[in-house]
Amino acid sequence: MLFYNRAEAAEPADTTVNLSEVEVRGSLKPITRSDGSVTLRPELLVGHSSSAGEVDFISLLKNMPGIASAGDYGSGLQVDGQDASQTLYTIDGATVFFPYRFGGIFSTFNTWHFRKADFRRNVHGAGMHQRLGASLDLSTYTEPDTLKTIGGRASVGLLSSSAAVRLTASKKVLISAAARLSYIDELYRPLLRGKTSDINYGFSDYNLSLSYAPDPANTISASLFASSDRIDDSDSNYALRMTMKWTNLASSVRWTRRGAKSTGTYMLNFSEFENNLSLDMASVWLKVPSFIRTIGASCEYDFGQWKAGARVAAFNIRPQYSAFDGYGQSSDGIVSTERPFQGETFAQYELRAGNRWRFRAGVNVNAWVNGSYRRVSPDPRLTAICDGGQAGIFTLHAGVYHQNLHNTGLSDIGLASNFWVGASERCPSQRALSFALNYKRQSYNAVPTVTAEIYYKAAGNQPEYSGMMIDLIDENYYSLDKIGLTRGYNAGINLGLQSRVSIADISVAYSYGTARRREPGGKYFPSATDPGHSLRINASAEADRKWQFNADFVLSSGRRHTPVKSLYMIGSNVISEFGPRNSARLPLYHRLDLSATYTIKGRRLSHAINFTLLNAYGRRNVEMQHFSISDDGRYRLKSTASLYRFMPLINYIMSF
Amino acid sequence: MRCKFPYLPLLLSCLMWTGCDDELSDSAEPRPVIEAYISQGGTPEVFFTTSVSPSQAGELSDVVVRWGKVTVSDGTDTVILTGGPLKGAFPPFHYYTPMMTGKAGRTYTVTAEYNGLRATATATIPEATPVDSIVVRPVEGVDSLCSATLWFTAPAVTPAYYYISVLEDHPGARPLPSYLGTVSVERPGIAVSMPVYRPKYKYGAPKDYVAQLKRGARYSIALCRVEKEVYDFWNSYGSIVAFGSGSLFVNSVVRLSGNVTGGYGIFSAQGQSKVTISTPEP
Repeated sequence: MLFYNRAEAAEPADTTVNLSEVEVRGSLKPITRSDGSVTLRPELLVGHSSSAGEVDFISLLKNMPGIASAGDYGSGLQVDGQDASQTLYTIDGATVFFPYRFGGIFSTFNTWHFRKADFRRNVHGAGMHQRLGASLDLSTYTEPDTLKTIGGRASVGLLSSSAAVRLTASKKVLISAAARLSYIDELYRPLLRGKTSDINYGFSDYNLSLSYAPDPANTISASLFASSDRIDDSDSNYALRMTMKWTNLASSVRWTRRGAKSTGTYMLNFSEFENNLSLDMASVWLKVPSFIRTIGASCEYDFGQWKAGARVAAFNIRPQYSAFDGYGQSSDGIVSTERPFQGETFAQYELRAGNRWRFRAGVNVNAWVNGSYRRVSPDPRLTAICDGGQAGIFTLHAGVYHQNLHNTGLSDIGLASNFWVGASERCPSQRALSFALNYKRQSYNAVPTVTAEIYYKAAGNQPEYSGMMIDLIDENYYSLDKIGLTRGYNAGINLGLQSRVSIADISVAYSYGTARRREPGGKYFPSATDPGHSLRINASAEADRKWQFNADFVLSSGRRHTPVKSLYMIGSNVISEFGPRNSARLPLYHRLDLSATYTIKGRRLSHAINFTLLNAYGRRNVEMQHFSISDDGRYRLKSTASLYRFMPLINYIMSF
Repeated sequence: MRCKFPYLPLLLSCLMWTGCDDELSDSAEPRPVIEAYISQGGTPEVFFTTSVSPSQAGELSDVVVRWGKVTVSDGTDTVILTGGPLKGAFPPFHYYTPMMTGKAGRTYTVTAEYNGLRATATATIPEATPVDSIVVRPVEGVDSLCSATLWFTAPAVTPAYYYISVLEDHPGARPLPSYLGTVSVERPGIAVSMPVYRPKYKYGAPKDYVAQLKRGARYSIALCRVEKEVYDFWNSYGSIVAFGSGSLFVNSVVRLSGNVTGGYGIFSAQGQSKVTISTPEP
């Protein structure tokens, strides 16, 4: 038996070692590195709590301190109080613009198709793509499996089923494919149907990867990902039918050439995100589409101490517009198409000074052209790492970041209807000056592993959307007119403890963060993503080789919202007069999720059944508050609680 | 024996700190609220209420001002309005006068005072735009409903701003803005169509709101031309009524500006064209 402590492993440990008749055991939880980054590996996630019946990378990341979504129904990751669109998602280097589904369920990423997911938080090298915040890079398998020809996993959940297969066609060729299909309509449609309303939701996603290694020095791989979501809502009282459909496409072709002293990676990639919102109401119809497409090429070189590279990307962006008929003067909408171009080059050098100190200094020079708007920015980044041995490792990072794409729109919780727009004179590039100090002391002599991070990020040109739904039926609606810009800062602290007590892995994480924004000449106000306090406790244990138990407890500040200052009546309706923006919080959020996984390991097949109970003690976590009037004329504040209460889930995973 | 988890005090501190949350309660003092209408050839009507603090539950009847002083001035004459009950409607009390009639192009000022609260609003009645036609069609697949489309020709001078008001034929009904009933017209002389939906309101309304017109019913429909300030108010009001009453998914913070000084609400001076229709029996 080999005991493998992943915490001690020098990440990234991506070299392949073939072992036979070896059982690998160790910490069941992802280990945070000294720079705050985490690598998630699917094989270690089988026993974790499922999110709506699927083990999901993004849902697991939400269990980390300082990472949240906009309530139970929000899907996007808000890392350290930053907007979800400031986190970059890539599959084998190709951007995925909207990896979320509706209603806070799992993401579009089919966990079992991927070899690993690297999550980086505030410390990035010079090669970091154009985002202000975190990054989640998903990598597919590229090394043929020398032990078995075919392998993979199949998963059956309450909302969907998925399968991922890896086929080693030869010693040089590996083919991986995965698919997931939902059956929400078939199982739950009667439950979602109201007296006059009906709602349908369906989704699917597909992955295909191909890797060819003609010799040990060269690997050529291709990756294709596509996802589709469609939601239909109808109400006979309004003669209304509303449809929203969104699709993702991300593809790349890579050639990796490993030399004696360097590794070169050359890539072509294409990504697309498209959203269509349409509404039909008897004599009136409305269409609100938007899309973003990008095609790019890159080369990156790793010479050991030196890393360098260059990327170019062309975009085709259609910001949201509105076309309608039957209402006022029929309108085809104010359609604008942007065709920006982005080029960047970066170089980074790592200097070792003695046994303790390492310094990484680099610069990312990026250029952006969008019509008459042109910007060139050299973004310097510096990281100093001090290895104090048993005292721990300190990482200090300072860097400048630019983001040339804005994402904004009507939805507070980041629905797909929010749209992308390129930086321009009207909405200049987002920018941030970021500082982070990380500390990690590895577990030894039964003392827990300690991680800590203090961050400060000064951000400029942050988009704020000011439009209303009704603006969409105004023939003068121009989405870019509704975007205002703010500046501000995010600051906070993340603390983590991890320890193994008897058979259980226990981790405790606490974070406090603040995010403030202000309009030009205005006063600071809390951002909608202002994180506040958060305490997360996780315990997982293997009772024997068959049972694995997991418990997640979260206690955090309620979501920011704009409070109602007073109420009055107009036209027999209650009108709210609001107080300062985002100046109040919803009530405290807390919940406990429990799961148990029973695993049967056979020679060829392994079966795991996961039972999860979300919100095990039924806390009524408030998603929103509004005022209602009863028939007898009494008004009161009404809280809408999340549906995620006492929610049992079951998920079957077969590995082969 | 060494403690396996020596950070328990720190954990407890975090737990207590996390539990301390800043729930802001920013309640405000009551302010006067005016909902006033005047149209060409019509007499002024004012609903006078006050705002309430949302910090606790209450009764809507408490907001009605029954003993206020409400005046309307056309710049030359000032008339004190009479207060009286309005059975079945909300607010169940209104201020009215037969002593003044609205004229297109004239500017009027409403003043409402009560118990130290004072609000005033000024607005001008624009020229009315005639309704060309109202087309009524059955709603496909629903026997009890029909859809209506109002057509008018944009005036020679634009932009022009409109909202549609609908009076239903039942006791206590009063003209109210149609659901999604605002439009601004930019191009002069073109044909403009607007769907006519029933007003959506929360108090005194049937439980299941139906947007389309019911068959076998009578509706008085008014195309109301208003100033931009008034249009902006009704447009934002329409957004609140249609989308803003507690949506989880879209931004529901809509602030109404209005034309009232010293309080909230709207003085809707409107040049209106009225048409009464009877929808076909089911």
